Amino acid sequence: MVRSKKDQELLLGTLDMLVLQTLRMGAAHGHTIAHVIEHTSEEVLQIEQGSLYPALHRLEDRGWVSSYWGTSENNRRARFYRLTAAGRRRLAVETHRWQAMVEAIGRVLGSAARVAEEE
Amino acid sequence: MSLRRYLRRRQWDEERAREVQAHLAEEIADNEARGMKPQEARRQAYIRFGNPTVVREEIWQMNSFVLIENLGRDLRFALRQLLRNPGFAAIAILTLALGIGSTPRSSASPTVCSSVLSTSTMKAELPKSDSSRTTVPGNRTFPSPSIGNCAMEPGTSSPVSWPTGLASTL
Repeated sequence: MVRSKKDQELLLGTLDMLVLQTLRMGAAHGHTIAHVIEHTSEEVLQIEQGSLYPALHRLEDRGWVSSYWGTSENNRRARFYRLTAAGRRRLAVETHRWQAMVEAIGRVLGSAARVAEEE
Repeated sequence: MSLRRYLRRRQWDEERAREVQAHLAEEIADNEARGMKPQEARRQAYIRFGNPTVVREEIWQMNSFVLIENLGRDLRFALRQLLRNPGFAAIAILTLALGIGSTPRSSASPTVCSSVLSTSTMKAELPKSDSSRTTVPGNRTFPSPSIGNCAMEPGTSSPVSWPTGLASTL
């Protein structure tokens, strides 16, 4: 479970971003999204699959994805999600922000590592 | 945020519940294809998914005015408790009423509490050396707002004597 409100926000934002990125490759249903994220991260990111659905609901509510009922590869009824134009823009913003943050943290950790080496 | 979702949350609930079931069915089929026994396939699918009810609740809450609904529930609960215990309710209401009444609403009007108290107890029972110089807090002619200040200003009024029980109540 998630420990604090801040943690939760960070994780939620990240999951939203990963879902949007996954949908860039085309429409998909929840089950596929979960597996694509897990496989492309080489199983490092294990999402609790259930948490995907509130995230998808939120994304749809904000108009970043749209959904429709379709038939899955295994001939089952499944709800498919598609990235909207707004979602595409959102993904660009999120990705940019994420990269800036990773670089910033990297610089801080890099200088910390140098200090540790000098000591 | 669209407001439509508040009106259609039952529909969304059913929709998402079906979706979750479809997801679990897919995962169970995958697991069975990997050679798991049906029961184990089902167990593993639920482990990876987490609790479907929690997921439904989370979506339901997203579609709700949680604060307002909780407030309504609290109010109904409070009312039920008061009705169950009318004696307690009467005392609580009286206490609150007196408390609110004794808070000065404007500097010009003497408060309910002090006027009630002064007519009933203070005027009759205060030991006074010079009745013309006796003042009551809340009265506009009192030179300073607190008792402490009053004691430090010799000559402006007589030393104020309070029945101690009354002072602590006020």
